[in-house]
Amino acid sequence: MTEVRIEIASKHYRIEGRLDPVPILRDVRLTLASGEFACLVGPSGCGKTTLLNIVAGLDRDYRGSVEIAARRTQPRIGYVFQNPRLLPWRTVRENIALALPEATDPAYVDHLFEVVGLKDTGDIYPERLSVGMSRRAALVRAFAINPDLLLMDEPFVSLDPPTARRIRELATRLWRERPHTVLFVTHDLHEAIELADRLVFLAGSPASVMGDIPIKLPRRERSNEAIESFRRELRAEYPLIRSLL
Amino acid sequence: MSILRNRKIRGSGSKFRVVYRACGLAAPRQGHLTGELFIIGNTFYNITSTRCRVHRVIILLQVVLALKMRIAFHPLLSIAALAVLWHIAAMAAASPLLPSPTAVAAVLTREIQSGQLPYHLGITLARLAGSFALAMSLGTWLGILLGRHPKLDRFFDSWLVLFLNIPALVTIILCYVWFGLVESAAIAAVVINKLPNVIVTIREGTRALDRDLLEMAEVYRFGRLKTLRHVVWPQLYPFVLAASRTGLALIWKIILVVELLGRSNGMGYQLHLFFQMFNVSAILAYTLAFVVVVQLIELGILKPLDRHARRWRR
Repeated sequence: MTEVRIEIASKHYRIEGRLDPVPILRDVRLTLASGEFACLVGPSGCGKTTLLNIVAGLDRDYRGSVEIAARRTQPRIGYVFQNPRLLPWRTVRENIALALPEATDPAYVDHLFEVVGLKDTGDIYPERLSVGMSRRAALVRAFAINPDLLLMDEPFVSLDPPTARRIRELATRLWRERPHTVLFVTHDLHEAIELADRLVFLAGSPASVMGDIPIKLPRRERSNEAIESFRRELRAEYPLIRSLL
Repeated sequence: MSILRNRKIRGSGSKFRVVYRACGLAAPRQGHLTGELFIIGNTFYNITSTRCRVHRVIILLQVVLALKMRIAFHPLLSIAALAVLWHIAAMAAASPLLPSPTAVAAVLTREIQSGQLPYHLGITLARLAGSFALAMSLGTWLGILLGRHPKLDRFFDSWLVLFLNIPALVTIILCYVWFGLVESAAIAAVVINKLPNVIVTIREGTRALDRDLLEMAEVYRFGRLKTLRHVVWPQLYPFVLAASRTGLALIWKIILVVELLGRSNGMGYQLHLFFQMFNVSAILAYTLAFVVVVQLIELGILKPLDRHARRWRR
């Protein structure tokens, strides 16, 4: 399926009024195996979103390369942004239909709607939805296109804990139905351990990969206690990343 | 209590119904007929809310007052008031230079029946439509272009400022001098006058486009056409509408001058003719027809478009 090879030598930001650009990423090398769920963890503002935008092809102003080996000639990327980014002048269903490639099975989309509990809100304009519902709609959009690579940028931030937990469970459930490579950005280590096959720590200024840790714990056994103890082990074993936790 | 209700309120129920109709309000429901509940505007009057007779009378008086105010401020009535004022002034002046409303109405019907007014109004409307369409499409395109490309914008900004400040009369004269007294020169003059306005408005709209949504469209491979139609256009639409509204108001005024200076038909030409003959009744009749048509365009086309554009808002 999909293998993603990210090699970013450097990425700078130009700030208005400053002569020299500010470096934000340096030597970020990362390879994702196909079907792998990788969590990118790091303090806020360290360049995680920048990295995702580069992988998504939105930001081409960097040195390095991103290769996405896909089944298709053009890799299909699903991106769940930090804010839902739904078109407010189109209904929820139209929003999702617009993103769909032509050969999409409508039954699968209906199924997604049903799973996330938005079956009856298809004809509603996004401004009338709650934050949690908009997020679920954005999730449906990302999954519906059956992506080669799914990028998620803190999709559960600013939600109340129960809603966040529910949507997190939905996301994992959908992912398990049709596994694809996922790069998930969060600053919440607990969330990362719960979801991922692998943790990638991004930190520093300019940021680079500070640690790359596989999570061997089977998903079924990831209770709160297991996650906490894993977290304690991490702290003990990797002093370098202790400052991030 | 019952006396009050029977004699005063129910007695005036039918009167109220007439008043309601005159105010263009919905037909009163049962409560209204018995005179217990009144809804006027967005205020709710409930006479049964109190047992005290004095209070009830006060509420009733409030109802009557509210209805009277509603009638007094009804737009039709205010127009009628204007007509009455006009009539009084005309009577006082007793001069052909200030004809009475009835005289103007007579001229209006005569001009409509002779086909003169529809012909000239039609010609002006056709010019309006042509120059409006040209100015809007060209202006929208250029506005998007300048909004998307800061370098172009920086270069052409001073041009825009220059064109915005050239008096309409100057462009009209120059167009006629350079291109001759022809239709295309007339249209060009109107378009040149209107174009900078449209460009500036649309440029603002383009600058305000939501980058988040554009990025979303890019990631999900909307493609050019879909992005334009579903992401860009809905955001530009209010700006286009604003440009159309101010544009229409501007073009109306300029087009008359254009016709006055260099065409041999149209409203501007006719008004010029009437001016030379000091025919004030005809001038007022044409003006009236003009105003009505503009209002019809506003109410019949622009308002519904505006409402359509807002339907998704909360």
